[in-house]
Amino acid sequence: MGRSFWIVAALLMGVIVHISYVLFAPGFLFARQLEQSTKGKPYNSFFISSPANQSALLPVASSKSVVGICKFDLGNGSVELNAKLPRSYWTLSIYSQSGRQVYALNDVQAGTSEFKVELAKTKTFFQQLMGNGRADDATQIENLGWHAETSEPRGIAVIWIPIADELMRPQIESIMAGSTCKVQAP
Amino acid sequence: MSRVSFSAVVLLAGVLLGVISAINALGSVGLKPVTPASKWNEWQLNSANTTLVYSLGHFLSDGQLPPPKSVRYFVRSLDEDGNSLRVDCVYVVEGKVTPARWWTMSVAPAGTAAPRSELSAGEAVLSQDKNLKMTISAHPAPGNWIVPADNGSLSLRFIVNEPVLGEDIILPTITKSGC
Repeated sequence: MGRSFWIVAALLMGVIVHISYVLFAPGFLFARQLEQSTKGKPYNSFFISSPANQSALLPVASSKSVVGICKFDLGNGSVELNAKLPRSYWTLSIYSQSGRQVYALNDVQAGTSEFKVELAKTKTFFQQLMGNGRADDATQIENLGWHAETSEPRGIAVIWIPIADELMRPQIESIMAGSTCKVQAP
Repeated sequence: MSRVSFSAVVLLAGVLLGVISAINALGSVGLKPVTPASKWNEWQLNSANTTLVYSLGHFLSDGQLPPPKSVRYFVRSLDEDGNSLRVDCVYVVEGKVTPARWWTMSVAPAGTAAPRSELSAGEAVLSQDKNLKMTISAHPAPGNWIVPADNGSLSLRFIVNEPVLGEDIILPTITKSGC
């Protein structure tokens, strides 16, 4: 009886550990890896990844593509990503620090190669109840561009542009270098 | 005393079992054969899929961002005869081109994340009837050609970005032409 109890308890413990590991360990491991791979790059700044690093971070990004990254921190307020991109196929994906995709956009959906995305923290239940949050998203779209929210304060926005020819890289990088990522003025 | 020891050992075994099964599951549960007979497997990235958490966890555990939701991610490590893909053999990849905004085919040493070489939609040379023929070989080959890893077995990845809605993704065949 006593041994059976502990065996059942151990099996339950195994199930709990399995679920906990699958849910939380990958996000933790990714956040640590992200810190290492973008070491030296300050938060709320835009930079273009090196071909060697980009496929290590983004499995769809081969060395024959250009990847721009905005590593953001919403601790000091909302962050504005101001993108300047070539007129070609591109995708923008925004992830929280734990690797959850919170927003996606591409050239067809945007209809333009120059746009702004405001990154903000998700309003808490209390803020929503009190109604003292920011203006509604519809207002933001009219005034600023697109609006994305994440419940985690830190994350990463990734712009991916595939290129057919390595000779195109300098031209695309020079256009993309005009993009910015900074804390929004109050 | 022996009862305490037994309970501690059993509980520790339960914890270890949980960790080991989770690590194994992250590497395999989210990867499903495209069809029961297909050699191609696909990482399940559709949010409606119950194994999504394992697929996302697989990429995150490797320090990679999960592919965007608009991506279909296929891998295989066997040729049409069911043998492992090896770097010392020559393979011919053939098939109709998938209707999509972009695709990339790459080879990597089995079990690694970084591709060794690749061919993308922007550089592939197609036949007049839009068929793709590509050679995987350590030595130069005419037409579309990619180089396998340095040694050992390899895996082929086929990443399709934004496939045309309503159109089936056509996965190419891989035939060994010599070793």
